[in-house]
Amino acid sequence: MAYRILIIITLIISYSQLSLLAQNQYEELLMTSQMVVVGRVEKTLSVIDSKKMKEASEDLQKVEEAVLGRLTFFKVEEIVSAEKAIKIKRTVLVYVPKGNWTDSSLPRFKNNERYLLFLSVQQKETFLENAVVSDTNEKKNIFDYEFQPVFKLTKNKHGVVPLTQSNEEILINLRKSTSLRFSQKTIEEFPLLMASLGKSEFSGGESIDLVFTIKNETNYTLVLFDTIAERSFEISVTNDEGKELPLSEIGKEEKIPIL
Amino acid sequence: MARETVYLVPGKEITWQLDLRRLFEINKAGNYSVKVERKYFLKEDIENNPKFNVISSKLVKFKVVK
Repeated sequence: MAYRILIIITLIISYSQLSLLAQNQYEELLMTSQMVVVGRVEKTLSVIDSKKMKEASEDLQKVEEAVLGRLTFFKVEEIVSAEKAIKIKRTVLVYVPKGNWTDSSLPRFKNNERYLLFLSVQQKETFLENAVVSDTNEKKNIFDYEFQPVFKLTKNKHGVVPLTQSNEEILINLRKSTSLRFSQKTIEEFPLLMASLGKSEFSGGESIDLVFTIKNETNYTLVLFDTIAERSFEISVTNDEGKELPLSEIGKEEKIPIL
Repeated sequence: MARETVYLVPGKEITWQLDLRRLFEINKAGNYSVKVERKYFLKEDIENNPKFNVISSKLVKFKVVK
């Protein structure tokens, strides 16, 4: 009888130690996990109401689940349209905790390369946004790269992604992005956005006139709300260091008018 | 300033023009690049299930000299 009790006690202690070990490994995983989300924040999104907060919270759960998900980069070699670019080159990254990257799993990002980034959550692939690599030096770890812009969501010791203002905006943007539909149409069914400057060199003080055209090459009627160019288009100018230039005072007034 | 909505039928195009120097702090000589992005909807989706799509332009490079 005493022998049986001894065996049972031994089994219980062993199980407890295994559970504790697994828990420690899990905690360590949470502490070292870091998800890099590359995306464009809705710059005009400044007021978040309770409904949006609720939706953001729901998306936060998705992000929690996605920490061990997969990030997929589509390298854009010729930007005709975002949709066509998907067809060009696909680089897949499998997300693993920090420190476990291997050279073979890392893409070699270079300055000004442009990527469309997708996030896979439970086998559902979500378009995050496109991004431009903004640093000039080749790095060996994805966490050393700088994108324009870069957001990092880090879990705390309780395994929770802190919900900051910028995170809320990212998550809401993430929710909006899920409505993008890339796979349902053929290449010929997307509109084209063309931009040109007329020439490539400008002197100081000379106006730099950007002309851009949307050509509807689809079989559908497109709806463009609010067609004031300064406000309804996302226009970004970057210098040779990859830094995005700020709006001028006039630009701020025209981009975000005080109504 | 009135807001305007454009319905762009198949085969048609619409063009805008603006001065980048007016909008951005382009004060120094150097190399720059500009890109444009735009969200749009399909008319057939508007009433039932509005979903936006995004199109992007090519990266256009230019140089500013003194």
